[in-house]
Amino acid sequence: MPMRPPADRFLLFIVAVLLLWPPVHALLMPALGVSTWRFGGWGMYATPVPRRSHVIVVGRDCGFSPPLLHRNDGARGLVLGAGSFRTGALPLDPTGHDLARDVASLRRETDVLALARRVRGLHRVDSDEPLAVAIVQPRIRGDVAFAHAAVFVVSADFAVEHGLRVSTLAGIDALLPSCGGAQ
Amino acid sequence: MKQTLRAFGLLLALKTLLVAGPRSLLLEEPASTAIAMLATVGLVGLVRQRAWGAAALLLALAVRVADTFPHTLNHAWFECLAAVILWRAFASPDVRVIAQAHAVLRFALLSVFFYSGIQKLVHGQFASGEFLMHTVAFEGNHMSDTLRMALRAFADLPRADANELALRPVTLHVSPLLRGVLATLSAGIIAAELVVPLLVVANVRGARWALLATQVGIGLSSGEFDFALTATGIVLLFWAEPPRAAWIGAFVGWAALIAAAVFSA
Repeated sequence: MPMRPPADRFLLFIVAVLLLWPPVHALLMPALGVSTWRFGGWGMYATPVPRRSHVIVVGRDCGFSPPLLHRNDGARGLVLGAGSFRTGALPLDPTGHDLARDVASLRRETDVLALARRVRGLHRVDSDEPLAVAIVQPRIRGDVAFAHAAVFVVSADFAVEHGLRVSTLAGIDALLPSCGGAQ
Repeated sequence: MKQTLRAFGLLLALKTLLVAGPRSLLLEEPASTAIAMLATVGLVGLVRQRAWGAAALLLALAVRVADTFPHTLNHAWFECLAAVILWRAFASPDVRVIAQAHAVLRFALLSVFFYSGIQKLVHGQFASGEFLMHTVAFEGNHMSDTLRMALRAFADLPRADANELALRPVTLHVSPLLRGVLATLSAGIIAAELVVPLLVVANVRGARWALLATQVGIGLSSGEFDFALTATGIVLLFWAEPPRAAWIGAFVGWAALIAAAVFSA
Protein backbone atom coordinates (compact mmCIF):
# COMPACT_ATOMS: atom_id res chain seq x y z
CA MET A 1 0.00 0.00 0.00
CA PRO A 2 1.40 3.46 -0.80
CA MET A 3 2.24 5.63 2.19
CA ARG A 4 1.95 9.45 2.24
CA PRO A 5 2.62 11.83 5.13
CA PRO A 6 -0.54 12.42 7.16
CA ALA A 7 -2.19 15.83 6.94
CA ASP A 8 -3.66 15.55 10.43
CA ARG A 9 -1.30 17.47 12.73
CA PHE A 10 -1.75 15.13 15.66
CA LEU A 11 -0.80 12.14 13.58
CA LEU A 12 2.04 14.12 12.03
CA PHE A 13 3.39 14.72 15.52
CA ILE A 14 3.29 10.98 16.19
CA VAL A 15 5.21 10.31 12.99
CA ALA A 16 7.80 12.87 14.05
CA VAL A 17 8.21 11.17 17.43
CA LEU A 18 8.56 7.77 15.75
CA LEU A 19 11.26 9.15 13.46
CA LEU A 20 13.22 11.32 15.88
CA TRP A 21 13.12 9.66 19.31
CA PRO A 22 14.97 6.38 18.54
CA PRO A 23 18.17 8.08 17.27
CA VAL A 24 18.12 10.40 20.28
CA HIS A 25 17.55 7.37 22.51
CA ALA A 26 20.52 5.54 20.99
CA LEU A 27 22.83 8.39 22.00
CA LEU A 28 21.21 9.46 25.24
CA MET A 29 20.67 6.20 27.14
CA PRO A 30 24.31 5.03 27.20
CA ALA A 31 25.36 8.52 28.28
CA LEU A 32 22.90 8.36 31.17
CA GLY A 33 23.79 4.79 32.10
CA VAL A 34 20.26 3.62 31.30
CA SER A 35 19.61 0.25 29.68
CA THR A 36 18.74 0.41 25.97
CA TRP A 37 15.78 -1.85 26.82
CA ARG A 38 13.92 1.08 28.40
CA PHE A 39 12.06 4.20 27.26
CA GLY A 40 10.79 3.10 23.89
CA GLY A 41 13.82 3.54 21.67
CA TRP A 42 13.54 -0.04 20.34
CA GLY A 43 16.98 -0.90 21.69
CA MET A 44 15.93 -4.40 22.76
CA TYR A 45 18.65 -6.99 22.13
CA ALA A 46 21.17 -4.24 21.32
CA THR A 47 22.70 -4.79 24.78
CA PRO A 48 22.19 -7.54 27.43
CA VAL A 49 18.80 -7.70 29.12
CA PRO A 50 18.93 -5.82 32.45
CA ARG A 51 18.61 -8.56 35.07
CA ARG A 52 18.75 -8.67 38.84
CA SER A 53 21.67 -11.09 38.52
CA HIS A 54 23.62 -8.16 37.06
CA VAL A 55 23.52 -6.43 40.44
CA ILE A 56 25.47 -7.66 43.45
CA VAL A 57 25.68 -6.16 46.90
CA VAL A 58 28.87 -6.69 48.83
CA GLY A 59 29.39 -5.91 52.48
CA ARG A 60 32.10 -6.62 55.01
CA ASP A 61 31.59 -8.51 58.25
CA CYS A 62 34.32 -7.21 60.49
CA GLY A 63 33.57 -9.75 63.22
CA PHE A 64 35.48 -12.42 61.28
CA SER A 65 39.20 -12.73 60.70
CA PRO A 66 40.00 -12.22 57.92
CA PRO A 67 36.91 -10.03 57.45
CA LEU A 68 34.19 -11.98 55.64
CA LEU A 69 32.89 -10.54 52.39
CA HIS A 70 29.20 -11.10 51.83
CA ARG A 71 27.51 -10.95 48.45
CA ASN A 72 23.86 -11.36 47.58
CA ASP A 73 23.59 -14.51 45.55
CA GLY A 74 21.96 -16.54 48.30
CA ALA A 75 24.16 -19.46 47.30
CA ARG A 76 27.44 -21.07 48.13
CA GLY A 77 30.54 -19.52 49.61
CA LEU A 78 33.85 -19.45 47.74
CA VAL A 79 37.50 -19.54 48.64
CA LEU A 80 39.40 -17.00 46.58
CA GLY A 81 43.20 -16.85 46.18
CA ALA A 82 45.44 -18.26 48.93
CA GLY A 83 42.84 -18.04 51.70
CA SER A 84 42.85 -14.24 51.52
CA PHE A 85 39.11 -13.96 52.02
CA ARG A 86 35.90 -15.96 51.82
CA THR A 87 32.45 -14.95 50.60
CA GLY A 88 29.18 -15.70 52.37
CA ALA A 89 25.68 -14.88 51.23
CA LEU A 90 23.21 -12.04 51.62
CA PRO A 91 20.04 -13.48 50.06
CA LEU A 92 17.39 -11.06 48.81
CA ASP A 93 13.63 -11.39 49.13
CA PRO A 94 11.23 -10.77 46.20
CA THR A 95 11.15 -7.03 46.95
CA GLY A 96 14.94 -6.99 46.95
CA HIS A 97 14.95 -8.87 43.63
CA ASP A 98 12.64 -6.23 42.13
CA LEU A 99 14.88 -3.46 43.44
CA ALA A 100 17.94 -5.18 41.99
CA ARG A 101 16.22 -5.45 38.60
CA ASP A 102 15.32 -1.75 38.74
CA VAL A 103 18.92 -0.86 39.57
CA ALA A 104 20.12 -2.92 36.58
CA SER A 105 17.73 -1.03 34.26
CA LEU A 106 18.26 2.59 35.23
CA ARG A 107 21.31 2.76 37.50
CA ARG A 108 19.67 5.55 39.51
CA GLU A 109 21.12 6.53 42.86
CA THR A 110 17.66 6.45 44.47
CA ASP A 111 17.18 2.81 43.44
CA VAL A 112 20.70 1.93 44.62
CA LEU A 113 20.00 3.47 48.03
CA ALA A 114 16.66 1.65 48.24
CA LEU A 115 18.37 -1.66 47.48
CA ALA A 116 21.06 -0.99 50.08
CA ARG A 117 18.39 -0.17 52.66
CA ARG A 118 16.58 -3.42 51.84
CA VAL A 119 19.78 -5.42 52.36
CA ARG A 120 20.47 -3.65 55.65
CA GLY A 121 16.95 -4.35 56.84
CA LEU A 122 17.04 -8.01 55.86
CA HIS A 123 20.45 -8.71 57.35
CA ARG A 124 20.68 -6.18 60.18
CA VAL A 125 23.63 -4.31 58.76
CA ASP A 126 24.21 -0.95 60.42
CA SER A 127 23.53 2.07 58.25
CA ASP A 128 27.08 3.33 58.71
CA GLU A 129 28.63 0.03 57.57
CA PRO A 130 29.56 0.58 53.93
CA LEU A 131 28.01 -1.58 51.22
CA ALA A 132 29.19 -1.81 47.64
CA VAL A 133 26.49 -2.11 44.98
CA ALA A 134 27.99 -3.28 41.71
CA ILE A 135 25.99 -3.11 38.48
CA VAL A 136 27.68 -5.29 35.90
CA GLN A 137 27.43 -5.16 32.13
CA PRO A 138 28.43 -8.54 30.68
CA ARG A 139 30.85 -8.57 27.77
CA ILE A 140 32.59 -11.26 25.73
CA ARG A 141 35.96 -10.85 24.02
CA GLY A 142 37.18 -13.86 22.13
CA ASP A 143 36.84 -16.81 24.47
CA VAL A 144 36.56 -14.79 27.66
CA ALA A 145 33.40 -13.49 29.29
CA PHE A 146 33.80 -10.71 31.82
CA ALA A 147 31.86 -7.71 33.07
CA HIS A 148 32.30 -4.00 33.33
CA ALA A 149 30.84 -2.68 36.56
CA ALA A 150 29.67 0.62 37.91
CA VAL A 151 30.16 0.43 41.68
CA PHE A 152 28.30 2.54 44.21
CA VAL A 153 29.73 2.57 47.73
CA VAL A 154 26.81 3.30 50.06
CA SER A 155 26.97 4.31 53.69
CA ALA A 156 24.45 6.22 55.79
CA ASP A 157 22.12 6.81 52.80
CA PHE A 158 24.88 8.44 50.82
CA ALA A 159 26.26 6.86 47.65
CA VAL A 160 29.54 7.49 45.87
CA GLU A 161 29.71 6.19 42.31
CA HIS A 162 32.89 4.76 40.90
CA GLY A 163 32.93 4.57 37.13
CA LEU A 164 32.92 1.56 34.85
CA ARG A 165 35.78 -0.85 35.25
CA VAL A 166 36.35 -4.57 34.81
CA SER A 167 34.54 -6.27 37.65
CA THR A 168 36.31 -8.59 40.05
CA LEU A 169 35.64 -9.24 43.71
CA ALA A 170 39.14 -8.01 44.49
CA GLY A 171 38.36 -4.78 42.69
CA ILE A 172 35.13 -4.31 44.63
CA ASP A 173 36.96 -5.22 47.83
CA ALA A 174 39.46 -2.44 47.10
CA LEU A 175 36.67 0.16 46.81
CA LEU A 176 34.92 -0.93 50.00
CA PRO A 177 36.35 0.82 53.09
CA SER A 178 38.29 -1.57 55.28
CA CYS A 179 37.23 -2.55 58.76
CA GLY A 180 38.03 0.03 61.39
CA GLY A 181 37.56 3.19 59.32
CA ALA A 182 36.92 4.85 55.95
CA GLN A 183 39.54 4.61 53.18
CA MET B 1 -10.48 0.83 6.70
CA LYS B 2 -12.45 1.57 9.83
CA GLN B 3 -13.45 -2.09 9.93
CA THR B 4 -9.84 -3.26 9.92
CA LEU B 5 -8.92 -0.68 12.56
CA ARG B 6 -11.80 -1.95 14.64
CA ALA B 7 -10.52 -5.51 14.25
CA PHE B 8 -7.07 -4.45 15.39
CA GLY B 9 -8.57 -2.51 18.30
CA LEU B 10 -10.56 -5.56 19.38
CA LEU B 11 -7.45 -7.73 19.18
CA LEU B 12 -5.49 -5.26 21.30
CA ALA B 13 -8.29 -4.92 23.86
CA LEU B 14 -8.75 -8.69 24.11
CA LYS B 15 -5.04 -9.18 24.59
CA THR B 16 -4.90 -6.51 27.27
CA LEU B 17 -7.78 -8.23 29.06
CA LEU B 18 -6.11 -11.65 28.67
CA VAL B 19 -2.97 -10.39 30.43
CA ALA B 20 -4.52 -8.08 33.05
CA GLY B 21 -7.58 -10.15 33.93
CA PRO B 22 -5.85 -13.13 35.57
CA ARG B 23 -3.38 -10.81 37.33
CA SER B 24 -6.30 -8.86 38.74
CA LEU B 25 -8.00 -12.02 40.04
CA LEU B 26 -4.98 -13.94 41.27
CA LEU B 27 -2.67 -11.18 42.49
CA GLU B 28 -5.27 -8.56 43.49
CA GLU B 29 -3.31 -5.73 41.91
CA PRO B 30 -5.36 -2.49 41.77
CA ALA B 31 -3.68 -1.39 38.54
CA SER B 32 -4.42 -4.73 36.85
CA THR B 33 -8.03 -4.49 37.97
CA ALA B 34 -8.35 -1.00 36.51
CA ILE B 35 -6.68 -2.10 33.27
CA ALA B 36 -8.94 -5.15 32.95
CA MET B 37 -12.08 -3.11 33.58
CA LEU B 38 -11.10 -0.40 31.13
CA ALA B 39 -10.12 -2.98 28.51
CA THR B 40 -13.56 -4.56 28.90
CA VAL B 41 -15.23 -1.19 28.36
CA GLY B 42 -12.94 -0.72 25.39
CA LEU B 43 -14.03 -4.06 23.92
CA VAL B 44 -17.71 -3.18 24.23
CA GLY B 45 -17.19 0.24 22.68
CA LEU B 46 -14.98 -0.93 19.85
CA VAL B 47 -17.44 -3.65 18.82
CA ARG B 48 -19.78 -0.74 18.09
CA GLN B 49 -16.97 1.41 16.65
CA ARG B 50 -17.45 4.05 19.30
CA ALA B 51 -14.81 6.62 20.15
CA TRP B 52 -15.39 6.07 23.88
CA GLY B 53 -14.38 2.46 23.37
CA ALA B 54 -11.08 3.53 21.86
CA ALA B 55 -10.67 6.08 24.67
CA ALA B 56 -11.23 3.39 27.32
CA LEU B 57 -8.62 1.14 25.70
CA LEU B 58 -6.19 4.07 25.57
CA LEU B 59 -6.80 4.78 29.25
CA ALA B 60 -6.21 1.11 30.11
CA LEU B 61 -2.85 1.12 28.36
CA ALA B 62 -1.93 4.51 29.81
CA VAL B 63 -2.60 3.13 33.30
CA ARG B 64 -0.27 0.25 32.50
CA VAL B 65 2.48 2.65 31.43
CA ALA B 66 2.00 4.86 34.47
CA ASP B 67 1.91 1.89 36.87
CA THR B 68 5.23 0.52 35.64
CA PHE B 69 7.02 3.80 34.93
CA PRO B 70 10.02 4.29 34.71
CA HIS B 71 10.53 0.56 34.18
CA THR B 72 7.84 0.33 31.51
CA LEU B 73 8.54 -2.36 28.93
CA ASN B 74 8.91 -1.18 25.35
CA HIS B 75 5.92 -3.11 24.07
CA ALA B 76 3.74 -1.33 26.64
CA TRP B 77 4.91 2.02 25.26
CA PHE B 78 4.21 0.83 21.72
CA GLU B 79 0.72 -0.44 22.50
CA CYS B 80 -0.13 2.82 24.26
CA LEU B 81 0.98 4.69 21.15
CA ALA B 82 -1.10 2.35 18.97
CA ALA B 83 -4.10 3.07 21.19
CA VAL B 84 -3.52 6.81 20.77
CA ILE B 85 -3.62 6.39 17.00
CA LEU B 86 -6.75 4.23 17.22
CA TRP B 87 -8.47 6.78 19.40
CA ARG B 88 -7.62 9.52 16.92
CA ALA B 89 -9.17 7.48 14.14
CA PHE B 90 -12.39 6.73 16.00
CA ALA B 91 -12.75 10.20 17.47
CA SER B 92 -12.56 12.02 14.15
CA PRO B 93 -15.51 12.31 11.76
CA ASP B 94 -13.08 12.93 8.90
CA VAL B 95 -12.65 9.86 6.69
CA ARG B 96 -9.18 11.06 5.68
CA VAL B 97 -8.04 10.94 9.32
CA ILE B 98 -9.11 7.29 9.48
CA ALA B 99 -7.00 6.50 6.43
CA GLN B 100 -4.09 8.48 7.84
CA ALA B 101 -4.31 6.73 11.21
CA HIS B 102 -4.27 3.39 9.37
CA ALA B 103 -1.08 4.47 7.60
CA VAL B 104 0.57 5.77 10.78
CA LEU B 105 -0.09 2.46 12.57
CA ARG B 106 1.63 0.60 9.77
CA PHE B 107 4.45 3.12 9.76
CA ALA B 108 4.84 2.70 13.52
CA LEU B 109 5.50 -1.03 13.17
CA LEU B 110 7.96 -0.53 10.32
CA SER B 111 9.83 2.10 12.35
CA VAL B 112 10.14 -0.33 15.28
CA PHE B 113 11.67 -2.96 13.00
CA PHE B 114 14.00 -0.48 11.31
CA TYR B 115 15.24 1.30 14.41
CA SER B 116 15.64 -1.98 16.23
CA GLY B 117 18.14 -2.89 13.52
CA ILE B 118 19.81 0.52 13.77
CA GLN B 119 20.15 0.22 17.55
CA LYS B 120 21.79 -3.19 17.16
CA LEU B 121 24.30 -1.68 14.72
CA VAL B 122 24.99 1.38 16.86
CA HIS B 123 25.70 -0.51 20.09
CA GLY B 124 27.76 -3.20 18.38
CA GLN B 125 27.22 -6.12 20.73
CA PHE B 126 24.57 -7.77 18.60
CA ALA B 127 26.26 -7.27 15.24
CA SER B 128 29.43 -9.02 16.42
CA GLY B 129 27.49 -12.07 17.63
CA GLU B 130 28.33 -11.21 21.23
CA PHE B 131 24.70 -10.84 22.32
CA LEU B 132 23.69 -14.26 21.00
CA MET B 133 26.85 -15.82 22.48
CA HIS B 134 25.94 -14.36 25.85
CA THR B 135 22.39 -15.68 25.47
CA VAL B 136 23.62 -19.18 24.70
CA ALA B 137 26.23 -19.21 27.46
CA PHE B 138 24.48 -17.47 30.33
CA GLU B 139 20.75 -17.14 29.85
CA GLY B 140 18.09 -19.66 30.80
CA ASN B 141 15.07 -18.34 28.93
CA HIS B 142 13.01 -19.26 25.88
CA MET B 143 15.41 -17.59 23.47
CA SER B 144 18.46 -19.32 24.89
CA ASP B 145 16.68 -22.70 24.85
CA THR B 146 15.64 -22.17 21.23
CA LEU B 147 19.15 -21.17 20.20
CA ARG B 148 20.76 -24.06 22.00
CA MET B 149 18.39 -26.51 20.34
CA ALA B 150 19.07 -25.04 16.91
CA LEU B 151 22.83 -24.81 17.33
CA ARG B 152 23.45 -28.21 18.85
CA ALA B 153 24.23 -29.60 15.42
CA PHE B 154 27.06 -27.14 14.91
CA ALA B 155 29.20 -27.19 18.01
CA ASP B 156 29.57 -27.88 21.69
CA LEU B 157 27.88 -25.07 23.50
CA PRO B 158 29.41 -23.28 26.48
CA ARG B 159 27.41 -22.77 29.62
CA ALA B 160 28.43 -20.71 32.61
CA ASP B 161 27.00 -19.01 35.67
CA ALA B 162 26.27 -15.34 35.00
CA ASN B 163 26.78 -14.50 38.69
CA GLU B 164 30.46 -15.36 38.35
CA LEU B 165 31.02 -12.51 35.90
CA ALA B 166 30.76 -9.99 38.71
CA LEU B 167 33.62 -11.70 40.50
CA ARG B 168 36.01 -12.78 37.78
CA PRO B 169 36.30 -13.44 34.03
CA VAL B 170 35.07 -16.80 32.74
CA THR B 171 36.60 -18.75 29.83
CA LEU B 172 33.89 -20.09 27.53
CA HIS B 173 35.78 -22.48 25.17
CA VAL B 174 33.95 -21.36 22.04
CA SER B 175 34.64 -23.09 18.74
CA PRO B 176 35.35 -20.92 15.66
CA LEU B 177 32.44 -22.63 13.93
CA LEU B 178 30.00 -21.58 16.65
CA ARG B 179 31.41 -18.07 16.64
CA GLY B 180 30.89 -17.88 12.87
CA VAL B 181 27.37 -19.26 12.99
CA LEU B 182 26.31 -16.78 15.66
CA ALA B 183 27.88 -13.85 13.83
CA THR B 184 26.13 -14.86 10.60
CA LEU B 185 22.81 -15.31 12.37
CA SER B 186 23.19 -11.91 14.00
CA ALA B 187 23.96 -10.24 10.68
CA GLY B 188 20.95 -11.92 9.11
CA ILE B 189 18.61 -10.69 11.83
CA ILE B 190 19.86 -7.11 11.50
CA ALA B 191 19.60 -7.28 7.71
CA ALA B 192 16.00 -8.48 7.95
CA GLU B 193 15.07 -5.70 10.38
CA LEU B 194 16.60 -3.03 8.15
CA VAL B 195 15.66 -4.31 4.70
CA VAL B 196 12.16 -5.73 5.11
CA PRO B 197 10.58 -2.42 6.20
CA LEU B 198 12.23 -0.67 3.26
CA LEU B 199 10.87 -3.30 0.88
CA VAL B 200 7.39 -2.76 2.31
CA VAL B 201 7.63 1.02 1.91
CA ALA B 202 8.86 0.52 -1.65
CA ASN B 203 5.81 -1.69 -2.29
CA VAL B 204 7.96 -4.59 -3.47
CA ARG B 205 5.92 -7.65 -4.36
CA GLY B 206 5.83 -10.14 -1.51
CA ALA B 207 7.30 -7.71 1.01
CA ARG B 208 4.32 -7.83 3.38
CA TRP B 209 4.60 -11.64 3.48
CA ALA B 210 8.27 -11.21 4.35
CA LEU B 211 7.21 -8.82 7.11
CA LEU B 212 4.72 -11.37 8.44
CA ALA B 213 7.31 -14.16 8.31
CA THR B 214 9.91 -11.98 10.04
CA GLN B 215 7.52 -11.03 12.80
CA VAL B 216 6.37 -14.61 13.38
CA GLY B 217 9.98 -15.82 13.35
CA ILE B 218 11.11 -13.20 15.84
CA GLY B 219 8.15 -13.89 18.09
CA LEU B 220 8.63 -17.65 18.14
CA SER B 221 12.40 -17.57 18.64
CA SER B 222 12.54 -14.77 21.21
CA GLY B 223 9.53 -15.83 23.25
CA GLU B 224 8.14 -12.28 23.00
CA PHE B 225 4.62 -13.60 22.40
CA ASP B 226 2.94 -10.59 23.99
CA PHE B 227 4.37 -8.08 21.52
CA ALA B 228 4.12 -10.58 18.67
CA LEU B 229 0.34 -10.68 19.05
CA THR B 230 0.05 -6.91 18.74
CA ALA B 231 2.61 -6.68 15.95
CA THR B 232 0.95 -9.45 13.93
CA GLY B 233 -2.31 -7.53 14.20
CA ILE B 234 -0.63 -4.49 12.66
CA VAL B 235 0.96 -6.64 9.95
CA LEU B 236 -2.56 -7.71 8.95
CA LEU B 237 -3.32 -4.02 8.31
CA PHE B 238 -1.02 -4.25 5.30
CA TRP B 239 -3.73 -6.24 3.57
CA ALA B 240 -6.76 -4.31 2.29
CA GLU B 241 -9.32 -6.75 3.67
CA PRO B 242 -7.74 -9.41 5.85
CA PRO B 243 -10.18 -12.29 6.40
CA ARG B 244 -11.72 -12.71 9.82
CA ALA B 245 -9.97 -16.05 10.13
CA ALA B 246 -6.61 -14.25 10.00
CA TRP B 247 -7.53 -12.07 12.99
CA ILE B 248 -8.88 -15.02 14.94
CA GLY B 249 -5.90 -17.18 14.05
CA ALA B 250 -3.42 -14.49 15.05
CA PHE B 251 -5.12 -13.94 18.38
CA VAL B 252 -5.69 -17.59 19.26
CA GLY B 253 -2.21 -18.67 18.20
CA TRP B 254 -0.26 -16.09 20.14
CA ALA B 255 -2.67 -16.11 23.10
CA ALA B 256 -2.16 -19.85 23.47
CA LEU B 257 1.59 -19.33 23.60
CA ILE B 258 1.19 -16.50 26.14
CA ALA B 259 -0.98 -18.73 28.33
CA ALA B 260 1.45 -21.64 28.00
CA ALA B 261 4.36 -19.43 29.00
CA VAL B 262 2.50 -18.13 32.05
CA PHE B 263 1.48 -21.60 33.23
CA SER B 264 4.92 -23.06 32.75
CA ALA B 265 6.59 -20.23 34.70
